[in-house]
Amino acid sequence: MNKKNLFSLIIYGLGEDKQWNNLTANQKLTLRFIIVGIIYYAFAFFEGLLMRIYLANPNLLSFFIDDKHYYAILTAHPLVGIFGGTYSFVLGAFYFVLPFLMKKPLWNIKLAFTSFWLNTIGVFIFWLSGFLSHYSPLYTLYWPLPADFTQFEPIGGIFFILGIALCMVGAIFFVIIVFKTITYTPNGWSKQPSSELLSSALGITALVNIFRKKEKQLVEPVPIGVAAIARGSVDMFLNALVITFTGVLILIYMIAYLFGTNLKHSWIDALLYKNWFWWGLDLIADGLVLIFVAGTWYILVQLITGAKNIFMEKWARALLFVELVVSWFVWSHHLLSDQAQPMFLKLISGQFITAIELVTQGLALFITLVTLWHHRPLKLTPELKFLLGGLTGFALGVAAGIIQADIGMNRILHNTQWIVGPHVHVAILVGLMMTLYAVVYKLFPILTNNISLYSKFLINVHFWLQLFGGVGMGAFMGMAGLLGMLRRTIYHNNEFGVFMWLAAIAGIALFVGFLSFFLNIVLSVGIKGIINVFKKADYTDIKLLPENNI
Amino acid sequence: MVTTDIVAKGLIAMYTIYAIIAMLIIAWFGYMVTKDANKKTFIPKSLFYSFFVILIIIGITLHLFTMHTLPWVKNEIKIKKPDIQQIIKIEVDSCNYYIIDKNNKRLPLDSVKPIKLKINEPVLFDVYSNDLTYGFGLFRKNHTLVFQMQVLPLYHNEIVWVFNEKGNFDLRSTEYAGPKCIGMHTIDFITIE
Repeated sequence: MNKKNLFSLIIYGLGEDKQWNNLTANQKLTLRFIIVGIIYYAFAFFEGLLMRIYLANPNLLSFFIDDKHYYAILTAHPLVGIFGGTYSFVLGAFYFVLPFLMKKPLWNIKLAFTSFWLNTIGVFIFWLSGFLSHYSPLYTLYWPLPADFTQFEPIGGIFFILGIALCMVGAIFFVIIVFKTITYTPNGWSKQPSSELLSSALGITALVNIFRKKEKQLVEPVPIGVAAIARGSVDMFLNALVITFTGVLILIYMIAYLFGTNLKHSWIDALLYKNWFWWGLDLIADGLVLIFVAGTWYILVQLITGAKNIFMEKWARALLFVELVVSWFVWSHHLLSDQAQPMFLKLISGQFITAIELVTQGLALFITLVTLWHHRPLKLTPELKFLLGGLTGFALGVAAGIIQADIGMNRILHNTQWIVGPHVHVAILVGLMMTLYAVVYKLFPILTNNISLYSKFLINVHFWLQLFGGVGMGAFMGMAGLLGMLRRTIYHNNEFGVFMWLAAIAGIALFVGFLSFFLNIVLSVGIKGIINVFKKADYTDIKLLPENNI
Repeated sequence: MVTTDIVAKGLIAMYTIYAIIAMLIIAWFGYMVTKDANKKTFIPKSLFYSFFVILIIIGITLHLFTMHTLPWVKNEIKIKKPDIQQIIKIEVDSCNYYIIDKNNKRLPLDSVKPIKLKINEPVLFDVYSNDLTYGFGLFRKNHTLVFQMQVLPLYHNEIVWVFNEKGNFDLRSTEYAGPKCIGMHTIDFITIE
């Protein structure tokens, strides 16, 4: 086999048969999630690129996209990115990291594989239903748009909701596995102190200790990474419940309509619904993402430096707990421009509690940097570079978020390109994704039994284009937003053409960066490697890694 | 005279400076963390606590600052609304805006625009939607945003605004309300004299 030949690399990759044949079920699980996550990110990137070009000049793509189609893409794009890409990466990585940190196997690997299929199939179903039916109420689902059958076919909506529901069931399975893995006792092991482990993971032990005269600690606290996974999972569970309940509500209207009954929209109060839905939806952006990301920074820092403890670890644990509690009270910053929303909710929840996130995330960033600093000199590995990129993204994105979560500023920022540019896309593309890529670059040789990545050059191309493409796109979108460009409006008279073209060029750079990552993975694992990952896994194999994996 | 346009442009400048500084600090850190330091410098805990306090101060003062400097915030959070002479009642239905006249009659916007209003006097916009969630935003002729609000169905969505600049302003829906409602845009909706 000539490995220098591009064709043979695409087919066989750099791996040997023994490396693929030795994969444990847990390795296969995580690799499947990552492969599917990459494919769905490719979807989201391509959709994003189409939208960027369409916004720059709608006529350019008019031969296959019209305005209606644009809004269907706008509906699918964030959901494919979040559930298809990010959830796949996060679930896959945590399914591997959790047993590694807890030093015991996953509670139920079969259920974990089920959650993989639920999420993967669920995303495909809602994407396909949007693609075929152009169901486009956007991810915000503002009442009563998702049940407006003068604009949408209910059958498309039913499949859309069912797809989302499958993802939510998958997420709930993940949460169950997380807590059971932390607390259960594997066969043949001595009894684990379940309630104390749970209490430690959720931060209750530390909280109770504040009020005790003498600190009580029956067991070693769970590793800080586990604490982050557990606390973020609480928000994931609550979020899944809210989205599922909302989906059922919409489904009732759709099914009734199909049976010839048009239920009144006024039965649902639009303000109450908006508060309810944003409360749940925001548990992703302002809850589990921030908690999972901070936890991932801490895990990465420990893996990069070899440090057992991070700087100010007790504080770091407390901050994860604070972030969890804060995430339940910040939803109202999404309703600062809703005049019917009570003023005290705007002021307290929307402004001041939201501002605490500047503190929690700012300190998480500080702790990460100081821990790295204390272990210098460090080698500038791909995972360190991408971690620093991720920190940069959150330094920019969180600051933008705090500015818009202000009653005065929101009046001129709400629903403009500022929201989706410097805040959403910089936080996701630079902050979140670069953190996730750091994890992938760190775990890749471990998960593949020591297969190296094909090219360091491609890693560097990926890094610089992801960083500057993401920041650049966010910056030009932000400038357009501050000059009045709305986020959900198509401008046909070239009002913001210059900024949109600059954002599109940055978006193209981002896409090329992603392709370099994609190519590097494909040339490293090959199609044969991917097939091996999807070969039947042995569920009785409870080892995290094979014996010969270093 | 603080206008929303000045605030938006000020934010472009401020945020750009902040973003450049933040990126330079991380780039410097990335360089330094790979260097073999002759003398190991450990970061004291006091720096952590100082940073903690600084973040709290930034978080609080940002909001207090805007509450005291942005003129429109005062109208927003005042419990007692100012005595308003200029009231514009609008209804939204099936992707169209209508003006409600003094006799409670619904008129298409095109038949009454531009509505003439006085500068530096408060105007109450009362926008009511019969069906979907819309947006209500006024824009200058150069497309910059004066203000916007969400329009929730079956609620009176009210905002008081004092225009401190003369000119003609366009109306746009700032919220997506489905593919049939794209392009809810009325040119020269009001004139401020």
